[in-house]
Amino acid sequence: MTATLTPDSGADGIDGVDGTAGGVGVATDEPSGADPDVRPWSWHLSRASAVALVALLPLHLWSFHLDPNARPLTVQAFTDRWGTPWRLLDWATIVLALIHGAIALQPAEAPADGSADGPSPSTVARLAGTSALVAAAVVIGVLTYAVAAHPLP
Amino acid sequence: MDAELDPGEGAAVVAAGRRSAGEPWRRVAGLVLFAYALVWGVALSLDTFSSSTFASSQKAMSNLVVRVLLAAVAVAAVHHLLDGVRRLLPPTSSVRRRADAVYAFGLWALGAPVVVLALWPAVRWWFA
Repeated sequence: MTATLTPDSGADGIDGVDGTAGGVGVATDEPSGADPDVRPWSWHLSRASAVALVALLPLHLWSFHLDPNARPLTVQAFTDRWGTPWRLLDWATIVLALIHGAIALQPAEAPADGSADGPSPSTVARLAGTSALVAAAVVIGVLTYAVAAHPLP
Repeated sequence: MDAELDPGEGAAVVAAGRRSAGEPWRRVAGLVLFAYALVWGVALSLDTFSSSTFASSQKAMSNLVVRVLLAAVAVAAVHHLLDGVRRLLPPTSSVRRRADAVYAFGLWALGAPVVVLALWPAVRWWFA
């Protein structure tokens, strides 16, 4: 974890700590000296996934775990559920959450011109970021296959 | 030193300090949700590969320990969503100040019912 705890100073709504969209983030997408209007693709992907998850995550948690009237998730009930658009929503929620988290866990890279005065990412931060990326990629692959191969009711 | 700090600047510094103080919880909540997404992604995939494993894994969902973990996930989701939404707003705007208040209120107003709902299946099973 290499984030530098600097309070927000800009009025752009971007968190001064990591510049990510509310993730666990250690990535600083906004190196000092860079144009603040130009963001990397990962920043945009993180923001877009966050906006989608604001709607998808409560829906997901309610339908699976919180709805007191939901019937137990048996094999038949799950097959019935995935015979409807829930299959796509379940897939999208998990995939977007994994993408959002994996991006936020990437360590901040110091700019090549040495303009940043913060420390470079530690080995532990790099290892954590890589592990998160690999784990997310594996689960996304397995889940995508499962969604595609799951039998219809 | 204090004489050099005008009131508006002082309020901004206090607000920034308050936001930094909540920073570790944002990370903890994010990590909890990332771990949940990994586990639940695998759990949902199980049905395609082995229906019996899926059925036994879903039976464990009424277990009190599992429900406590799910309550933690639900609280993490409430915290992370409210915190994330307020951070989308400009930090010095009046809307942001209102969003900070909604965040503080919503954390308890949504967090408490969510914990009850998450634990309810285990409680019902115990007293059945």
